[in-house]
Amino acid sequence: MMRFFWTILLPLSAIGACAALLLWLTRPLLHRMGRMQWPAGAVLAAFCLFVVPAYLLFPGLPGQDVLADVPSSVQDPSNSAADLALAPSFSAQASPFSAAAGDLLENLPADTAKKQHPALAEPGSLMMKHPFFVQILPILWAAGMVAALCCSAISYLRFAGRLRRSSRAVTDAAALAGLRAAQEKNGIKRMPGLRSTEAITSPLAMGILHPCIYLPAGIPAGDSLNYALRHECVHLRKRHLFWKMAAQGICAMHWFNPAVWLLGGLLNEACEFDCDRAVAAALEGRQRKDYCTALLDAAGRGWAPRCVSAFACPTAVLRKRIEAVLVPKPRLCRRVAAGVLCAALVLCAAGMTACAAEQAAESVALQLPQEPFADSAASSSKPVQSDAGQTDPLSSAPEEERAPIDEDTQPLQTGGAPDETAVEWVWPVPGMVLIATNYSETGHRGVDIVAPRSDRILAVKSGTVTMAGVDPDHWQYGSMVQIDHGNGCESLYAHCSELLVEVGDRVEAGQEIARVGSTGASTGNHCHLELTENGARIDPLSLIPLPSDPSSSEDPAQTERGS
Amino acid sequence: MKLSAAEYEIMECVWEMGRPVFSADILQMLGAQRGWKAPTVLTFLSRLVEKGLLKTEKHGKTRCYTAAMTREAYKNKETREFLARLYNGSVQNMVVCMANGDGISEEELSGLRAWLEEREEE
Repeated sequence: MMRFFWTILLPLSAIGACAALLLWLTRPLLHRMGRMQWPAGAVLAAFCLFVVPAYLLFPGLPGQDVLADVPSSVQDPSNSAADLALAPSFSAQASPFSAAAGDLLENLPADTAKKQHPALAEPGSLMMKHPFFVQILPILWAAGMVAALCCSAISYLRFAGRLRRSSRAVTDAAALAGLRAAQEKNGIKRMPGLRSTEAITSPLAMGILHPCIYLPAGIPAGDSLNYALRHECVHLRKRHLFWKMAAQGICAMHWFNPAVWLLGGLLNEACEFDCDRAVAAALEGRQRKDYCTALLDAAGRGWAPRCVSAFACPTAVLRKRIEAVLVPKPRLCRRVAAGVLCAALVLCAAGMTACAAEQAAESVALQLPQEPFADSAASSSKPVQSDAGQTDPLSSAPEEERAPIDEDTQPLQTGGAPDETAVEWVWPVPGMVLIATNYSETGHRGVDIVAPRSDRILAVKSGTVTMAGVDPDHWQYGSMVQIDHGNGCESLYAHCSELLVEVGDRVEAGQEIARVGSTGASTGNHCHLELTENGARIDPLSLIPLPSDPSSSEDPAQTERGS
Repeated sequence: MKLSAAEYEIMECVWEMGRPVFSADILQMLGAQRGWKAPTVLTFLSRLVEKGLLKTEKHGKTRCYTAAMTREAYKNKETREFLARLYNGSVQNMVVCMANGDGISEEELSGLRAWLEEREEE
């Protein structure tokens, strides 16, 4: 949910807000140029921007290319596990970058060659700076959304119930005939209910599944009534009730955004104008005036003498509606020009906002804890499992892997043959070389090795255990083990589920010290490995070779090597 | 306008009697069961006058009260206010109303009617 809130919902909110504000600002322009109003369809399209990600609607977005290049472990967070733990204070030191890295990348098979994502190097993640803020806001949003939905539902049900109780079915033959005529004219299959009540002053229609038209008591049978019925039937034909209800749902989803409520008001207005237009299209001359009279009769004194419109005074809105009915449209070209100009404006702005929002979302996504590692079979990564489950110390050439945070499953070997010289380092998680997040001197200060829960974690080198447990000052590491190897060299293994050593224990290289878990600031089972040399953290992969490909013919060497 | 349970009971009484009532009548009918004293009843009655449900006149030393609206009218008014409150909330986003006349005064409305009449049919 946290990820959804920060990377999907907020950008959608921004894009939709931009479209909503533009629709609202271009209203006077549209009216002046072409005496038009935004049709309900345009407003609904703006509502779509609140729920449909922009890159589906605007396929040519530049931001989308970046997203497409981002390895699936970021875009689709189901197969990576990274932690953003703050390490104890180590001074930064640049890792050795091997010149061979570039060559190696070229030699990799095509399906594993990836581009490094530039945003990886961003320092100072959101999570680190404001962890509480980052975590609490999505929860507040969800609570607000549930509250908004409940309020809407309860208000609606109370309204509907009370209205129904205070009304009675209309039996007047003339009224029923008028309703039937309106129904046939609009091609509505099912006859809506017709009820009369003293509690309202304007005809209204309600109910998606069982639509019913409510008339104010005392409305005389005649033209006024017939026009009212036709107006309401057009609403039913165009399914405005359904669209308004859906819009209300979207408003609840973006309850914190005032622009979405503004758009809701725009939709109400647009629906009425659309209805007026549809009814007036079939009327001529005097009939249109009679229709406007019916409108004014319906306006009456209102239910409560309170001007709540965010747009214009209701008087002005009524005047606009009457004008729209009475006055013929200006020339077609002028209308088309006005419509095209405003639509283009809105689309451009929405598109640009979408770009910006997608970029922002993407950078935020990389700063959030990633989703749990679901299954290693996801996406193109294939974890390399050596058959004996043992690591194979490789040749001494250290590689700096410049692969992106996607899983790089092919072990990088410069040579095939095992080296005879004593290689001290042991791969800590036997059989698993899925690297979720690489070391970065400005960001992630270790290597995340993805592995199923309770996989064995081995000491990379012999040494003495200096820390085994949870450090209250660095809760992000969770249950961890820290080993001092002497000569200013230390290793740290975080997020363990189980610890098998205690402080002060002497361990050998390759000795089992813990089990893989997801404790601390981690949302997936992995082993976060840090290596310190002379007091500064370095890239563990620069010293610890990856185990070999299990398909290689050489036998996996034993891991017991002394330092 | 919302009436408390006590006020509503008193109104029911007044509607039942169908004639101008004195506070003594109310006291006699309801005071015993509810444990009200004379000043309490007077307070309720004056509140109902303020809310517009009762009219009051002084008859010599005593005051008499008459219902300002029928029970039906009150119920309609109360329902109307209830629905208006909900409609002004969020219900207007879920129902379609032909012309929501919120905030339009009589003068403005008659002005609009006159303006409409003047317009030439086109």
